Amino acid sequence: MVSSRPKTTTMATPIDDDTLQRYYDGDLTPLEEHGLALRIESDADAQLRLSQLAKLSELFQETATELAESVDSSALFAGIEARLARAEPRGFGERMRVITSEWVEHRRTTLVPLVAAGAMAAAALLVVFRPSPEAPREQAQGDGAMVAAVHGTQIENVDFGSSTGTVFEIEDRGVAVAVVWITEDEESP
Amino acid sequence: MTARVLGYLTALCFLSLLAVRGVAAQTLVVPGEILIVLGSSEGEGIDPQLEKIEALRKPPFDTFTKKSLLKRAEVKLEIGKETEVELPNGRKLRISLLEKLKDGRFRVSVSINRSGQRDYLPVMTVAAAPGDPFFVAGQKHGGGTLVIGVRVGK
Repeated sequence: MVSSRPKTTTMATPIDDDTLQRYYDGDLTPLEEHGLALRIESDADAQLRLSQLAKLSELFQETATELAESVDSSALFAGIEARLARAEPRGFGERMRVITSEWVEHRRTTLVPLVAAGAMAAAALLVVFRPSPEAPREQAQGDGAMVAAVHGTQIENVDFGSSTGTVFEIEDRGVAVAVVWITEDEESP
Repeated sequence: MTARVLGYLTALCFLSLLAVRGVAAQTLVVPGEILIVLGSSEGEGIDPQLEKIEALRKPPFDTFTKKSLLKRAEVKLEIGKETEVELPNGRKLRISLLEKLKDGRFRVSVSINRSGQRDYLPVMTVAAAPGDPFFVAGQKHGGGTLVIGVRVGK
């Protein structure tokens, strides 16, 4: 005969959203932080919400720079508010999902036309200003405006053969000028 | 729907851009300039065409009290093709454009030898920003020393 014992479980108080946010932001005292960290370790729901917070933060950081000049923050927050009002999210996770989706939607509708316009402008520039066959075709290749210009000259390797020589640099208006000096004692015949 | 169409247009534009760049990369031709200068400790003066090259007034070139421009050659450098410039001492300077680097500089190889020989400067490789010079000096000639300035791109 097998006797069965009633299972007992202890229900811990759920970690509220505000506390979790302050934990994520590092606003708790060291003691509070330590205690909460222990609780989070055994709270799958808190771990999930924490990872959502991290994901959202990463998303914001990732796009903050590129959107700094183009984003219409009023429109974004109005959109978030409207979406929250429509969806009436219940929990923290659901609110995060609503905010994230509005953010992604805003990014898509704001950036796609900008990128498309930029790409079309670049393509148009290449076609319109393509140099004539007589002009140096070097310009036609372009070199990517995003790459910072590197100045000066640099000797990467030298084979002096049977000669001896020195490689050094001198400065010309702040730019490094590479010099290879090959020793030759007598004038070659 | 509109966003999707714009997305396709963006991709199309980028592909066109890459295609145009690809065609241009295959036919890369870069202008270059070779200056052959004779530096000497006898006499004084600098050729007016060399006055703007500040590097030639700095050590070790400042030991030459006289600098004469013997030759100025405009060349067109193309990947896969060697360009030769005859030097006053009978040697030849051979220069080849190897590639354009991502940072905008050009990688070129330079050698100086007599035809069929490989004794003086077998080869050297240089990364040069467009318009910035580098020098190969030291050959004795006409009682002085040859200083060869090379500029790739403009």
